[in-house]
Amino acid sequence: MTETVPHQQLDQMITGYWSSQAIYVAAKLGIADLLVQGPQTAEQLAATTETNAGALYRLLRALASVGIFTENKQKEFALTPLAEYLRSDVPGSKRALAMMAGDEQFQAWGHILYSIQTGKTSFDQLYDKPIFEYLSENPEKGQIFDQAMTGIHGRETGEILNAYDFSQTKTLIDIGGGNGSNLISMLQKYPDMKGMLFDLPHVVERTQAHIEQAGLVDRCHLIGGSFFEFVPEGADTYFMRHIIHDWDDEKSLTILRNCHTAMPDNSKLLVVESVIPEDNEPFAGKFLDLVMLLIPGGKERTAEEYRCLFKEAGFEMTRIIPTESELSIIECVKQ
Amino acid sequence: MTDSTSHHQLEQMITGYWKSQSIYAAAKLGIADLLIDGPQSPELLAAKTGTDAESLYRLLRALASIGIFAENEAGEFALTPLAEPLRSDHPESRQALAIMNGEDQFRPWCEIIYSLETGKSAYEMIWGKSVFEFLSEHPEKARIFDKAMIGIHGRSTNAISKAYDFSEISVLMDVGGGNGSNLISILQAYPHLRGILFDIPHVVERAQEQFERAGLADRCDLIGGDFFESVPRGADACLLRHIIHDWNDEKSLELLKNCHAALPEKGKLLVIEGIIQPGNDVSMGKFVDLVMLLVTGGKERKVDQFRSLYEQAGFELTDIFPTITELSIIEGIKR
Repeated sequence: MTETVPHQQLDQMITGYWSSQAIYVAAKLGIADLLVQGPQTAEQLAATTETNAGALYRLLRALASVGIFTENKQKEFALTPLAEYLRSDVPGSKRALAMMAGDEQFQAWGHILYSIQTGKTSFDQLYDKPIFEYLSENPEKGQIFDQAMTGIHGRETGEILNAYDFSQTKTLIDIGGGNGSNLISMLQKYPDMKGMLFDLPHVVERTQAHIEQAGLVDRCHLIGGSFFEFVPEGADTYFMRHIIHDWDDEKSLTILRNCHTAMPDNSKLLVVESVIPEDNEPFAGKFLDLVMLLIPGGKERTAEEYRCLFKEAGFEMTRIIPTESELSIIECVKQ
Repeated sequence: MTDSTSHHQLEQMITGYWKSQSIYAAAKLGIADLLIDGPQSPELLAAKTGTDAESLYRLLRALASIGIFAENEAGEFALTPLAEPLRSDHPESRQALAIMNGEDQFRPWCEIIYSLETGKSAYEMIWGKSVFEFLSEHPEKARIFDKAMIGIHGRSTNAISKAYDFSEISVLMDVGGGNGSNLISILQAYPHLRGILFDIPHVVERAQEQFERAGLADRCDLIGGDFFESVPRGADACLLRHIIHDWNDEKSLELLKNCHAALPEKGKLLVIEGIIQPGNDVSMGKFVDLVMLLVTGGKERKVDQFRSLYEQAGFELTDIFPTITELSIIEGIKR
C-alpha cells in the first residue's frame, strides 16, 4: 500500500460508507448466490433480480474495484475470495451481517448526532420501539439478525472452548442462547454435559429444529421466557455471551440478580464479552460500543466497570480469561 | 490471501460506515476546533457542544482507537495528525466533506436499492428535486457543499495548470466554475490569459470577492446564467471541470452543444473528469460513479463514452492529458 497523508486517510474513512452500502445491496439482491454456477452478465443478473441493468453494472464494477466480484473479458461477473463470503450457504457467511448492517442499523447511524446529544438510542427514536421488540414483530428481520450473529460469533465458540475448561460442568445454561449454535458446539465437545437454553419464546421456537438436527434433544432442554423476569434453576454453569453489553447498568443488574437468585452455591457465572482496554489502541469493541449506544442502548465495559457491576449484583469477579480474539471470559462466583 | 483475512476484510468494509458516521459526528460538533488551544475533558467538550458527556466520551474513545484524537492520562482528548484536517481552518480541511457525507449524502445511500431498481437518483426521490435545486434553496447547505468540493478538488486545481499548456488560448471560460478557485489558479499561472467565470447567478455573486482578493478582477468577467439555456460568447476555450459527470447523456449533450454554439471555429473544449478505465483495478471513480447514480443522476464515463458525446455535440476528441490526480483533461476541437 502506498503511503497516504492524513487527509487522504480521512477521505477513505469519511467515504467508507459507500462500500458498506454497495455490499449491502449486493447481499440483499443475493448476487453471490446467483454466481455459484458460474459468471453472469449484469443484464442476466438484472433480469433475475428485477433491477436496472445499467445501474447494476455500475454497482458490480465498483465492487470489483475493491475485490468483491471480478469482471471478465465477456463482461461477465464472477465470484472472488471476498465475494464468496456473501453467499448464504458458506460457513462464516457475512451475507446476513451485510443485510442487517445496511438496513435499519444504517439508518440509525444516520442519526448518530441524536445519540451523542441525548445518550439515548437513535434506533428507538426512528422506529418507535426497542430493537428486540422490533425484531420479534418482524420475524424475517429477526431471522437475518440471528444469522448475522452466527456469522459474527460463529468462530467465537471454538475460541471459548479453547480458552476455558468446562470439564467440571454438569449442566450449562446458555442464557439468551439464540439459535443454539453455541450450545450445540459445547455439548458436542463435552459428551457428558447437559445443556439448557433460555431465550424469548419466539426465539426458542426457532431453536428447536436446530437441536433436533444436531441429535441433541435428550441432552438439551429449551425454556422460553424473559431474563428480566426470571432465570431458570437447575444448572451449575450460567453462561451469557454478548448479552450484558446490550443493556444499560440498571437492566444488566436485573438480569444478573435473576441469575444470582437461580444459581446454587458453588456454581459459576461466565459472562463472555469484549473487555475494553483503557488506552488509545485499535480495538473493535470500542466501535461496537457505539453500536450499543445507538441500537440497543447498552455498552461495552472496562474490567473495572464489570467488577463494579458484578459486585452490585452479589457476585465476585474471580478471573478474566482472554481468548485468541478480542473476547474475554469473565468468571464470577456468588459472594 | 488467506480465508480468514478475506472474511475479516469484508467485515471491515460492511461496518466501514461506523467510522464514517463517527467522524461526521465529531466534524459536525466542531470538536477539532475546540482542541486547538490544548486537550480538553469530555465533560468540558460536552458542555460546549450541548451533548451527553458519557456518549461523547464513548465517541471520542472509538475515534481515538483509529488515530483520530488521543486520550491522555488525565482523561482529556487532544488533536492528532489525523484529527488536524477536521479543523475548519486547516489548509486540507475535511470538516465540510465529513458533514456533507454524513447528512445530505447519507440519506440517498439508505435508499440505494431504489436507484438499483430504477436507475434513477435516490436523492431526487427523497427530496422531490435535484441536488442543485435543493442547494440553491438552502444556502447554508450550499456553503458546506462548496467547502467540501474545495477540500476534494483543491489539489487538482494546481494539477491542471501543470498538465495542460494554456499558452495558445487567449480567453478561457470556466463553465460552472463555482467559487472561481480553479480559474484563479490558471490565470495566475498564465499571465497573458483572460478569464470568464460562468455559473448560476447566486454562485457567481459569492465568487466576486475571490477574484478581487486575488487581484484578478480586471482580467476576468463574471457572468451569471444557466448553462442549459445558453453559454455566453467571447472565449476561445471552454473548460468544464466535474460538470459533465453530474448529468446524464441527454443533459450533457445539451450543455456541450451550448458550448459549441458559443465557441468560434477551432475553439477548444476542455472537459476535466476522472476517466473510468476498463478492468477491475482500484479506482475512486468507480465509487464516485455510484454517488452520481444516487445523488445527481449523472455518471462517470470511459474514454469511448466521452468520444461519443463529443462527436454528437460537434467536437473532435483530440487528446487526453493525465494529471497527477485521478483527473484527466479531455481536449476537443470544434469541427
